[in-house]
Amino acid sequence: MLPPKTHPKWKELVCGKLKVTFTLLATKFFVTRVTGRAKIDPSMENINRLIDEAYAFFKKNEKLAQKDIQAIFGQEPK
Amino acid sequence: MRAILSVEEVEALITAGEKLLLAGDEDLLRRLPKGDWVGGTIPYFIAETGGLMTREKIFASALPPEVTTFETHFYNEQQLPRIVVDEPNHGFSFVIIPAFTRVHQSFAENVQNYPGVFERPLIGWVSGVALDQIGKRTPKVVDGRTGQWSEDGAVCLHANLRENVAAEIGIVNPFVQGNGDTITVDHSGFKITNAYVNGERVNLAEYFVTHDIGGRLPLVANYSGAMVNVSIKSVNRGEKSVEFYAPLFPNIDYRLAVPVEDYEAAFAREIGKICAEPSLSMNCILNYVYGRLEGKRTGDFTGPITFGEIAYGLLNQTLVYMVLRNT
Repeated sequence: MLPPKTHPKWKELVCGKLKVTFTLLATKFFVTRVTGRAKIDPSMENINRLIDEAYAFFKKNEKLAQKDIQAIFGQEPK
Repeated sequence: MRAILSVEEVEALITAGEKLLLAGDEDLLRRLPKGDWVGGTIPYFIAETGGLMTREKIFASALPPEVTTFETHFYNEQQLPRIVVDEPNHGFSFVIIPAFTRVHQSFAENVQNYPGVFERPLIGWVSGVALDQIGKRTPKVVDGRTGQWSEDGAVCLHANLRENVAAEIGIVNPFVQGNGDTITVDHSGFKITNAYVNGERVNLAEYFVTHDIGGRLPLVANYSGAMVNVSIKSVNRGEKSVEFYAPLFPNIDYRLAVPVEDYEAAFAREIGKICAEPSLSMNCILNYVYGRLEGKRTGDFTGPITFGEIAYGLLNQTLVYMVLRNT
């Protein structure tokens, strides 16, 4: 189960502050896009929108991206 | 099943009700009956025996048995973002786009901005023609269900998968970023005049000429661990611009690739890391030409040699594949 959007790792992810190794190609492309957008517009409104996008991406790919989810949130995401 | 077959063999498969993704010379594809297939024009392939160019055979990839149903649609330039909207909730989408068209350019420049594009698997390739036929014949795509052809629209097959199976798209790139200068741009495009080298504004063509860049090495960007190539098409000294086979994007750091001496060995090394049988695979015409892949194998990763590979977005000099995973 994905952590709620209020989990601080979501913000770290979209702001490019997480240094983790991703496995899924889709994750690598997706993270590059959202971190690029966060650099262009770091307003809270945009960051929250990007967190919504990130949550939707991992929700949709929760099974295939399990390794990436664990890399972001640790072994037991809560 | 992925194999290079005669027209008669493909015809028999279509008649038997096989669901096929086809690649071949236009004249061969036009001889096929209607049925459950989509196709694109190209006469270059990596077969089990190695790379080859032939106008006598068609490369056929059967849709895996895990595909339950599928739909096919054409998309013009304005309709392209609908590809993502039409993607099945649980499955994958396979697109073929004719090269040198507005659809090709628009897809490459804008696909990363299609909402939700990375949420569901999108794979495909850019159709082409024999290299000596560029400018004489046009790349095309065809929907075998209707018999409709197009030279300016994309054909896409949206496949639903049975539960507990998911499609994963991957790439095999023989190139990695070198340690040289970092090149960035402030706007996206296939054609670049001014860029930034280590933050300093330069004319890119002059920079490439000065540094003897413009041959077979692509620029490489690191997309959070995925190496993404942009191949150099031409350095135009008169226009003082550089043309690429895919767009450069702002906020991405590009560096010239490390040279690859032996493409076959480089592919074998990277393919060896993949522990799965590919359901689909395609490679790049530039790898075929620059890497002299004629007669050389790339393991089980057989398929068409294309004018561009699609793994969510347009890639260059890269092998793209899809595997099915139990979930």
